[in-house]
Amino acid sequence: MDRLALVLVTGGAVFLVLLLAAVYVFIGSKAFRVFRHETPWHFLFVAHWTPQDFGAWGLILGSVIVVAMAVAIATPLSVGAALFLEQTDRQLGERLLRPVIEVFVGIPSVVYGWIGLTVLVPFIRLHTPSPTGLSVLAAGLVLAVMIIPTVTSLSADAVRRVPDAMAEASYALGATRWQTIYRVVLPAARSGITTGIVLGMARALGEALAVAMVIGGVPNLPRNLLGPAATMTTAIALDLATRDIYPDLNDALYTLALLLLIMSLVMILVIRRLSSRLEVR
Amino acid sequence: MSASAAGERRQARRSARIADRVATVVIRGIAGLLIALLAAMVVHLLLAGYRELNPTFLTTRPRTFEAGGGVGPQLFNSFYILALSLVFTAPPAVAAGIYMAEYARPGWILGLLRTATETLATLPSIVVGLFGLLIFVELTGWHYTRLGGALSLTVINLPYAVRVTEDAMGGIPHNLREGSFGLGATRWQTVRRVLLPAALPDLITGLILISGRGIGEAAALLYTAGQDALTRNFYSLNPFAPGETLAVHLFVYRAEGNVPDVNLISDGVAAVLVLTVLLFNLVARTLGRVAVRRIQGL
Amino acid sequence: MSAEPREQPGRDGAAFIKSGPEPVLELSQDQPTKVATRDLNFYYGDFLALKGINLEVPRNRVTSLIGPSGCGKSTLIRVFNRMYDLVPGARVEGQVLIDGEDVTGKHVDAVGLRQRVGMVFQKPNPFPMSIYDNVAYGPRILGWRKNLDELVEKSLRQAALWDEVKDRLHRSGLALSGGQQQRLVIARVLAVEPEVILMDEPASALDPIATLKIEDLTHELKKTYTILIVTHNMQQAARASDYAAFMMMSPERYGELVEFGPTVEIFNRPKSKLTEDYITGRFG
Repeated sequence: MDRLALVLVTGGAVFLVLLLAAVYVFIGSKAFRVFRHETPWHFLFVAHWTPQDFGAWGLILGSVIVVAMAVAIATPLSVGAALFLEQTDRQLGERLLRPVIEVFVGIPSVVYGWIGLTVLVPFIRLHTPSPTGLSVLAAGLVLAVMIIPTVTSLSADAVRRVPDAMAEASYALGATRWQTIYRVVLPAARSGITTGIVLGMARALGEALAVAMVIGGVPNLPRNLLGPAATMTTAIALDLATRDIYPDLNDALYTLALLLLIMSLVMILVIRRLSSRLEVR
Repeated sequence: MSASAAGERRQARRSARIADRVATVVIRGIAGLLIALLAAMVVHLLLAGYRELNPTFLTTRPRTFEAGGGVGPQLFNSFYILALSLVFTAPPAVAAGIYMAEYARPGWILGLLRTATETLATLPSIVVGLFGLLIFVELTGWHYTRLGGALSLTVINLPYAVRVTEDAMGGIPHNLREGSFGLGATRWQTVRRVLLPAALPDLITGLILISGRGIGEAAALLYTAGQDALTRNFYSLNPFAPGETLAVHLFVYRAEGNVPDVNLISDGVAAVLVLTVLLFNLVARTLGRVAVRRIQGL
Repeated sequence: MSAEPREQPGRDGAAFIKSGPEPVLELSQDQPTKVATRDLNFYYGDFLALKGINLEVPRNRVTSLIGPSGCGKSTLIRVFNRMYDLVPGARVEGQVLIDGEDVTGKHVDAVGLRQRVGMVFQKPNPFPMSIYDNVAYGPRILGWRKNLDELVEKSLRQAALWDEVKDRLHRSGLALSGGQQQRLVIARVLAVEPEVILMDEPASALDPIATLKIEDLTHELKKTYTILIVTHNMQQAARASDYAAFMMMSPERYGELVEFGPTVEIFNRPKSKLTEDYITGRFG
C-alpha cells in the first residue's frame, strides 16, 4: 500500500512537470514554421501584421505599452492599499478592504472587459479626442484594475514580514509614521513588493480577452494612447478565428505564443531570484 | 544651539508632521477609492443586469434575430465543464501536492516542482487555449467539445489546486505527524488517516475558490469548448458536444450577436457571472468555517 | 573602553552588595526628579495592566526596574515614551511627568517626546542599512542636516563603539556582533540627543562580556542622561543601578510597584517581605 501510494503521489508530481514541458514542446513545435518565409528580424522588429505578412513589432510594442501603463497605475495604488492594510488602519483594512480585494480577484476578466467596453470606452470617446474610445488608454486602465489585487496582496505580505522591532526602533527615535514607512518599512519590504509587481506584470501580459474588448484590435504601431492598437494576446485571440483560411497566420500565432511563454518564464525566474535573496536575508 | 538652528529644527518637525498627515490622507484615499470602485462596479452590473436575473433568462435558449432570448445552454455548459474539469484536476493536483508537502525532501526536486507550479500558474490563458486547440481539438480530431474545454480548464486550474493542497497539508501542526508516526503508522497511513482529514476543510475551501475563477475563464475555452452551444436538448451530458460557456458568450456575443437586445443580454450575463463568483466566495468561506469547526470538534 | 573583567560582586549569599573597585555611589538625596508617575493606571482595552504606580526617577542616575516576568516592567517604560500609542486600545490614567510636565495628554506631541526619551530594546534591532546610516537615521528624520559626520562620530564614541567600527562605517550594521549591534543601537539613540534613555533588558540577548560592556556604558552615560533599565538579572541591577524599583503582579493580575529606593537599600534592607523573597531567589 505504501509503495503504491508513493508511486501515485510521485506520479502526480511527474505529471505536473510533464504537463508544463508538453505546453512548451507543443507550442514550440509549431512556433518556428513561420520562419520558413519570414526572417526572425522581420517578425520581431517590423510592424506590419496582415494574414500574409507577419511583422509583430506593433503587437509586441502594444503589449509592452499596455503592461507598462497598467503597472505604472497599479503600483502606487497597490502599495498604498497594502500600507492601509498593514500600517495605518489594520482593523478597518481586515474588515473592509481585504474582502474587497478578494472579490476583485474573483471577477472574471471578460466582465472587466465588458465594464471597460460599456463604461470606460464611451467615457473616453466623450471626453477625449479619441474617435471610438477603443484605445491603449482603456486597455491600460482595465489591466491596472485587474492586477491591483495581485500587487496589493503580495505587497501587503511583504510589509507584514518586516519585523515590528524595526518599525518600533524608528518610532522610538521620534520618527513619524510616514517617516517610518518611507525610510524603514518600504525599503525592507522592497523585494517582496517587487515580486508582486512582476507577478502583476505577468498577469497583465497574459490577459487577452479583457484587452481585446477595449483596445480596438488594430495591429499597427501604436501611435498615441487614445488610438486603437493590438497586443500579442489580442492578436492570438482574434486571429485564431481565421486560422482555417490562413494557415500561415496560424503558424505565426504559435510564434507569438512562444514569445509570451518566454517572457513569462523570464518573469518567473526574476521572482525566484528575488525570493531567494529574501530567504538569504 | 543657536536660535537659527533651533528654528530650523522646529521647521523640520513641522514639515515632517505635515508630510505624515498628507501621506495618511493619501493612503486612506487610495483605500477609499478601491472600495468605491468595487462598489460602483458591482452596483452598476446589478442595475444593468437585474432585469435578466429571472428563471426564463437562465433556462431558455438564445434566439436569433429577435429579442428575449436566454442563456440556459451557456449557464449549463459553464457548470458542466467546470465539474468535468474538477474531476480531472483534483486527483493529480492532490497527488502532486501531497508529494511536495510530505514526500519530497528540500532540494532541487522540490525547487523544480515549485518553479513548475508557478510557471504553470502564470501561463497566459490564451496560450493554454492554443495548446488545448492543438491537442484536444486538432490532434484528437474531436473538434470543439465540452471535454476539450474541461481539459484545457484543467491546465489552468491544476497549479492552483496543487498549491492549495500543499498549503493545506503544510498548515497542519507537526505534532500530528509525530503522534501518528510514534504509533507505528507508515507514511501513507499517516497521510491517509491523519493529514488528509485534517487538511480537508482548507482543501475544499481552496477548490471552491478555484472553481469560482474557473467559471469566469474564457480565453482558454474560446477555441477548445468553442463558441457554439447545443440549442435543443442542451441539458444532455454528452461530453463531445460543443460547449460555449457564459464567459465565452459574453466575449463573443457583443461581436456576433445579431439580436436587438444584445447589450441587455450581455449585461445579464455579466451580472450572472459576478453573482456566481460572489456566491462561490461566500460558500467557500462559510463551508470553510463550518468544516474547521467540525474538525476541531466544536 | 576596554573589556577587562571586573570583579563580580555578590556571587554568593543572599545579599547582592555593591562592592569592588568603584566606590558605592553617594546617593545625594537632592538629585532632582526627572521622570515621575502619579497614580498611573494603564489599560490594554479593558484589561488593567498597571495600577497605582507612583515613582520618582532621579536625574543623572541609573534606575533599574526589577521583578518577575509579566509584572509590567516593560509596559511601564513604554508609557514613558508613549510607545503604547502604537497599540490600539491602550490608554493611561493618571500622570506621567517629565521635568514636571505631564506627557500623557492627547495634545502632547508623542513623536517629539520620543526624541527626548530614547529607547533601547531587548533584542538589538539595527536597521538593515550601513552603520553610519543607522546612527544618522534619527538626526535625518529630525531634519538635522549640519555636521552629521561629527554627530555620528560623537555618538559612536559615547557608545564605546567608534574604535571598533571607524574603518567600516559604510558596512551593514547587521554584520556586527550582537553586543556591537546593541551599542550601535545605543549610539543611534544618543545621536538624537535625548534626555532620558529607556533600556528594556538591553543585555538579555548578549554574552557576559558584551553584557558587562553595556553595564559599563550605562555608568558612563548617566553623567549626561537619566537612565531607566528593565532587567531580570539581579546581579545586573545590583551592579549597574543606583536606584531600584521592584514590581510584582498582584493577585488580580495587574502590575504594581512594591518598593522603590536606593539599590543598596533594596538589596540589603528590603522593607517588603515580597522584595526580600524575590531578591533572595525564593520565587520569580
